[in-house]
Amino acid sequence: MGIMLYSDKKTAVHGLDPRVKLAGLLWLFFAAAISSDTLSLAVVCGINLVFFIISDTAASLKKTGLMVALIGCVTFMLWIVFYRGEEAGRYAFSSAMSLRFVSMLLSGILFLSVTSAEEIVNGLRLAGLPYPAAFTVALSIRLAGSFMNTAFVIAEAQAARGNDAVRGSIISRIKAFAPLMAPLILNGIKKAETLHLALESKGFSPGKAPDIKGRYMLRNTDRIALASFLAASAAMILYKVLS
Amino acid sequence: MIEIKNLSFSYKKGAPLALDSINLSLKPGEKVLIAGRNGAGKTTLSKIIAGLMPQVQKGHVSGTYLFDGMDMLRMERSRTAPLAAVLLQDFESQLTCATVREELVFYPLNLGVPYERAKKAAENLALKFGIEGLLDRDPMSLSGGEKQKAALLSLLIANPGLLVLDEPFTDIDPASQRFLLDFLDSGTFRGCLVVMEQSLSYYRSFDRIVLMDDGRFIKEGGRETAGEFEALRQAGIKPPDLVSACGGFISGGFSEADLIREAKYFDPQEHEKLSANYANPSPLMYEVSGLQYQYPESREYALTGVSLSINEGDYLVVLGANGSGKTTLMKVLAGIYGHKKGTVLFRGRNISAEMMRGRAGYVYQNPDNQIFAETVFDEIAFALRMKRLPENIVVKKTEAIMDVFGITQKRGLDPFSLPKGDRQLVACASVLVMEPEVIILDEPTTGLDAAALETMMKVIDGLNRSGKTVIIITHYMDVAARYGRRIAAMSGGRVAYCGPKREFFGNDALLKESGAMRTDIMELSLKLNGRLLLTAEEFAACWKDK
Repeated sequence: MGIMLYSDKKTAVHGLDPRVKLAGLLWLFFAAAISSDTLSLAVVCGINLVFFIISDTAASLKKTGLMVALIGCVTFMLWIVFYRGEEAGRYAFSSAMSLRFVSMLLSGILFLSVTSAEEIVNGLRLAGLPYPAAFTVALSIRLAGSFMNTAFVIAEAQAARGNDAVRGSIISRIKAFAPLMAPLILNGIKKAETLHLALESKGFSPGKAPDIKGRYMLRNTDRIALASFLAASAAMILYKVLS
Repeated sequence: MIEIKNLSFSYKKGAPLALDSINLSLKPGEKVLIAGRNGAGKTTLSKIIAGLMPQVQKGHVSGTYLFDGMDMLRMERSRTAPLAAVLLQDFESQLTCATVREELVFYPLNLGVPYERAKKAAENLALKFGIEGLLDRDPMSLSGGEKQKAALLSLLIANPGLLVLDEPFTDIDPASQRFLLDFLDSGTFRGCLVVMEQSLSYYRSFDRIVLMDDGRFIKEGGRETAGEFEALRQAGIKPPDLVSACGGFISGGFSEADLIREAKYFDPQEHEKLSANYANPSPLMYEVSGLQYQYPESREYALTGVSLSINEGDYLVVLGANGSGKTTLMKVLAGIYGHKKGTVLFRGRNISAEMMRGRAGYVYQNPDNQIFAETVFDEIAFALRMKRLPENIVVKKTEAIMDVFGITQKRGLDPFSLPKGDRQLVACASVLVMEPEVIILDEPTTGLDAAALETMMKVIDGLNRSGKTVIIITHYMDVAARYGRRIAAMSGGRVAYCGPKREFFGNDALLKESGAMRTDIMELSLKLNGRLLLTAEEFAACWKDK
């Protein structure tokens, strides 16, 4: 089972300039941050879902849906417990906070589903981030996926000798995780140790960024998308000020 | 072009020397094979001559290493990167991008090549090597051989002056190995080539051969070094079968066939004995028909209609090109992967994970995915303790399996501190201690030197003789020829052939379809009189001294 979210599709969303995708991510975060009631946050979640549909990345939702729903439920319960405002607003506030968190998570998943690691590096560079920092961000995302893949292989290999961390009671599953950790940690250390060697073996040098001049040009669709994000942000601010 | 003099290296000051007084000079375009057993110092040397050590990975180095007059030991990696490239033994770590296409352009981009040019070169190279269909795939989703091929091409594309390959064929199918060697020999690649290996299988593709042991060069010369039996023995390298068959290296315009015809005669009766087909009258264990399997996130089927029968006590060797579905099929047979389409019966009943638990033992290619305990004994005893068996039985069974694998002396050692061959034996023992009825081993000999390979295969042979059903996945043709009784050849997600080894290796179309190849000894026997002989032992039995 793979854990990487990016899927190479030929949709309009995938074809956007990486800077526009980053701007879109920021806009979705902003929309979630500025909205404070359940209804408007539900609309922001809905916008995320619409983007998942038009970018043909519903598979990422399928992969992460359970985790997002669980996080949403836990957030909702935590806010119910720790809410300190007027009693009448407890449930509305908790559901709004939970939706905000879920909305931000969905935006992140959507971004990773339509943006390759290379686009993330180049998008961040074009947005002004230094190459080493941009490369580190993209590499971390990539390594997290690779680490998870290794974890699945190790779990499979351990299950083959009777240590099944997937089936059985919660207690037996927790017990079964202990033997998975040693090989996983050692694999992780080994990976980290060999990573710089592997990168430098291919001429990578933090101080010498590859030339990407002329590779990315803003097209009309990118401009329209950027204008839409700006207009929508202005409308949200206006609505917030007036309400 | 390359001049190395008195090069010594240790990982820490005062630590034993990993390399001791190495001298090597290479002319432009020269191809050198450096062979030695596990721990001989090949990997350390590969990193130094590629300019990664001591610059990136630290250590204490003495001596000189000049590349076109430049001091490689003191130059920054950013300056040595355009000169020398290395395929690491752990090639998976060199795949750091999200798609194969990005992987192929990464090196040239770092060297300052414009993106469009790098992209075009990547697409051309992929087309040449037949991996154009993988360009948009995530490297982590590829099979082991496809990964190794992608990692190798991601270096070749930079067209370095020196290409160092540390055990580059461990996961690549034989037809692709041959293709790569022919490509490197075709003149398209003009740089120097240094290949580190544990065998001399492809010695004829190199100009020079160096035998290495204990951090030192013990013999250096042309191809005739493949016939230096004493030096080979010292280096822990098995002589090539062809050289053994001829009793030494053949030179001076003679061919191996000429020499054999002159000095030996063919015994047809011996050949008759070998040709008797193996028949297993035991009942069926597995019956597979119309099996299809699709990975959850894939659009294509990894298995496209497999039909296969395996009898109790069988010894089956599974061959096939990279990505042909070998591992996927074996995981279905072991009950690790559930299937939705087709039928898989185990002793007449539909297979399930629950049914196969304890019955099928699956040994993974990488032993480090299994090992976790503090001692060899605890590692092997783990599965028995999981079954809550009484401790006296655990001790008895663990000691018995350690004895079978010949690792009793290492019972108190940390398994991670052992060499790769021993770790593989421990991982194998820790699965087999559960006494499964069917044993499936995924590339059990990868990365093992001749001695470790011999030990491993002896144990597997013994298990089969004691009645266990054994299935091995391999792409080592000499292993397939020497061990096992039947071959199942896979191609494009289905079993293209399942039957006697001799029939398989005699069929050109089948060999081509499954990415397999005949070994040198097989080719020689066919050339001599058209009678196929599979191993050096068979050859010696049939071609007797006059």
